[in-house]
Amino acid sequence: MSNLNPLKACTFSEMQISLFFDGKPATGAKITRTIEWRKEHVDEFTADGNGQVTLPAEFENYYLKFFPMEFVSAQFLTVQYEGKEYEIWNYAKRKTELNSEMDGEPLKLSCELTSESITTRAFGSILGTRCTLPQES
Amino acid sequence: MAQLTPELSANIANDIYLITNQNTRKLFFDLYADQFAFKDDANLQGKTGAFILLKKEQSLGLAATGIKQRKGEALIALKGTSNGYDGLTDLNAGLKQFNTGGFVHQGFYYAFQSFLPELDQFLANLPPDIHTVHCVGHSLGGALATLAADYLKAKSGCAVNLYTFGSPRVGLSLFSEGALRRLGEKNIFRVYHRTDPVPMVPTWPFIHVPNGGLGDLLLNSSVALNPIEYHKMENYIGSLSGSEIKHNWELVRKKRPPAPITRSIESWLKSDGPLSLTLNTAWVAAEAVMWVLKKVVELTGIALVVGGGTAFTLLDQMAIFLKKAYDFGKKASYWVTRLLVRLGKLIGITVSESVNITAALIRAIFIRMHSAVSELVMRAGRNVEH
Repeated sequence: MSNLNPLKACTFSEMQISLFFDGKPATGAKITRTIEWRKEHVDEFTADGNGQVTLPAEFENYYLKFFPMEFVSAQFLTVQYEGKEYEIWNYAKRKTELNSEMDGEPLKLSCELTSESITTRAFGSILGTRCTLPQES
Repeated sequence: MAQLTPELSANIANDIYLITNQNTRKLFFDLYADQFAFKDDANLQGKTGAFILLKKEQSLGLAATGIKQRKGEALIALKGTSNGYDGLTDLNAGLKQFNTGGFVHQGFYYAFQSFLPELDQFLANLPPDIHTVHCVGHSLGGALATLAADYLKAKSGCAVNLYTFGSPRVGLSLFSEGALRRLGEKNIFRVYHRTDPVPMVPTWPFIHVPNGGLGDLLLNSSVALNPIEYHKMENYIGSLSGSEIKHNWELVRKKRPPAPITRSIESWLKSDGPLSLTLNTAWVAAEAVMWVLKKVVELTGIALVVGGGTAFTLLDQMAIFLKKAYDFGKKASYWVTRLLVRLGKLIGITVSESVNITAALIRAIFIRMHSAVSELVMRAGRNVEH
């Protein structure tokens, strides 16, 4: 196995999220994050009094094979707020670098839970979200 | 006739990797929902369309019928798998006779057979108005798309278009020639970067569909990136992303970088200059092997009959063929000798013009060449950052 090389792949870049419900901060909203590349990783976070929460970057070790497969890290975020669940982020990360989506900057999202989710081509992949990136809003 | 554009076919070949996870699979369905019908519970007998996941437990791909502007069309999209590369450089890997005739690499054969029942089911339930099927795939998915396209063309009355990106070679000459004849070269879009190592394996006697001609769409690749980077779909999409080229296969053909034309292959064979083995010289050497094989068939009329067993036994048959050609006459022996001299130079074996050429020597040079190219390709894969 000497020709296999351990490396780190970023399966989720850091994400700063501001959550709103009808324009007001979604205080205390619970966020469930599911990441799946080689194995599934699930964790939970809670928004602060301003409806803000930061999800840290996630990495996974892997061993380099002769021909690397196309990298696909499936990311799925749901928010539980006032008894209802909202899917806010469904994305397939296709590059192993940290912050590959925004040229090295962390992702900053603003999410209005009552808005519609839209599927679009983004960051060299496909993104389904009801959030907006600041430069888009 | 209906064709997918360079941009759309490349995007599908890239996005099909999303079908493994059920959430990202939904992204694929949502993005293409205005062109194809994706419904797990679709009535396969119905008139509205058919949809099926191929090899459901591993999600190798999908088959779906077109809607709206794609009505009358169907899509078969296939993805590569993480295993199976190692077999591409194994001379002892077996060969299997494919459903349409001709031998193919057993790894691709078994992967294809694993979803053939679903493909047959899709075919049996295809609405009668379907006139064109698009088969798309990247890497090993390209190899499977090639088999699927040939199979569907032989089995259905539909026009079949094949779009592959960085596909390895799938089968031997009888398969490759048959598939090319059945599909028609204008319906094949085999896209590859010059320095992508994957299309270089398996080495001869495996032959691309097509090898040259209208459907052989070579893209330039600079030396700036590690060669294996050019295998990634991201870079295939990048190479086809120009504002006009992304809509027009003719422009992709026109963009073809200068390649060794017959005269330069002749010059390469005649030259006595120094040679070192790189991905580029390996590529020229492969072209030279093909050129000499064709040349000696023309000169001697001896047919190269290949079949059975493994690639290893095929090299035996080829060695015997070249030895016969060598013994046939002066012209044929000249080109056989030059080929051996040049291949020998690439792998550090000195072949003197006066040496007595035997089948054993030819075989030894080809096996060494195969090992050297395989090692080179594997090294390119190992050095990549991710």
